[in-house]
Amino acid sequence: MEDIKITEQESLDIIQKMIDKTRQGMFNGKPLLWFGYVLAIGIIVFNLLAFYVNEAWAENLVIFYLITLGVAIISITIFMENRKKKSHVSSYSDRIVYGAWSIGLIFMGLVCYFFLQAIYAYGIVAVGYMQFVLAGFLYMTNLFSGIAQSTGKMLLVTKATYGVTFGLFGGIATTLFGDNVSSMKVLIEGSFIFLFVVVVALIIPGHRLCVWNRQQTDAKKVA
Amino acid sequence: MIELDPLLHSQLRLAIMSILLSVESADFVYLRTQTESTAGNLSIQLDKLSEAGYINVNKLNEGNRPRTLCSITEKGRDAMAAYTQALRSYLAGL
Repeated sequence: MEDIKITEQESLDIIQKMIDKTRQGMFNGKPLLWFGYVLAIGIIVFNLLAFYVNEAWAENLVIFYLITLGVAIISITIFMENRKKKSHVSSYSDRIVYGAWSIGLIFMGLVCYFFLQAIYAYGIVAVGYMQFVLAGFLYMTNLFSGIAQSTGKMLLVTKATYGVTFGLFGGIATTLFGDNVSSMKVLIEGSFIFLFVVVVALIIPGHRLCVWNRQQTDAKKVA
Repeated sequence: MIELDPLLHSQLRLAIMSILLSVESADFVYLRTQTESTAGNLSIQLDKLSEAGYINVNKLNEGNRPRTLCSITEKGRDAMAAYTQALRSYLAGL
């Protein structure tokens, strides 16, 4: 494009084209909603099965949490890598997603605390003292990422590792020095923790982004 | 006769303002890619829009890399709203 005079119709066409082009590929929040509601329904269904059908379903719930956690971490990583490539522009949707994931990543500490309790409650003893090694590794990662934080690039990783580290240390302390953990207590606590994180990090921001996108679409029609 | 803002009634400047209307901020590289313009031409148009108060231009240094970040101002939003209103009125009157 150049600095040339245009007709009135061309003006409207340019406005339309540039807005459409800019919004192409922008995150609209629907993946957050889909993932969030599927997770939330899954948590509720597994809990109902464990309470009313067979307590053995509680063990499946732990596997379900492990799988969904893995999917969430991979999705976040892919999303953040894609955003790095498109870092030339910042939009309202970026702000919402970064904010939501920052909160969600900090609360991952609670999730890790739950996992440790689940490991002991369900008798998976092979983990042993590897938890100390893992927590120590994450603590060192915090130190190094704190040094790199000046560039702004390690910020989200720092929040995740701080949250996970404190959760792991908390879980270790509870299992070593606290009372014996019952499997039902793990199930109830873990379900509430997961539901809370799912709602805060996925469902609420997903709805907010969908509303924002609808407002943007309506504003475009007016223009 | 409805008068259209001469600062906005230009292909490249209108494209820049339309892009900035949809985002919180965009850097020079993004604007150049989206508008398919040359760096020199884009720089001149950004200066004109900035002097008019329609956009903010912030020059940052990220490590050793300079980066120019642009965002639309309230005055710029009002100008675009007035411009599109004038366009609609003009085309409705035809």
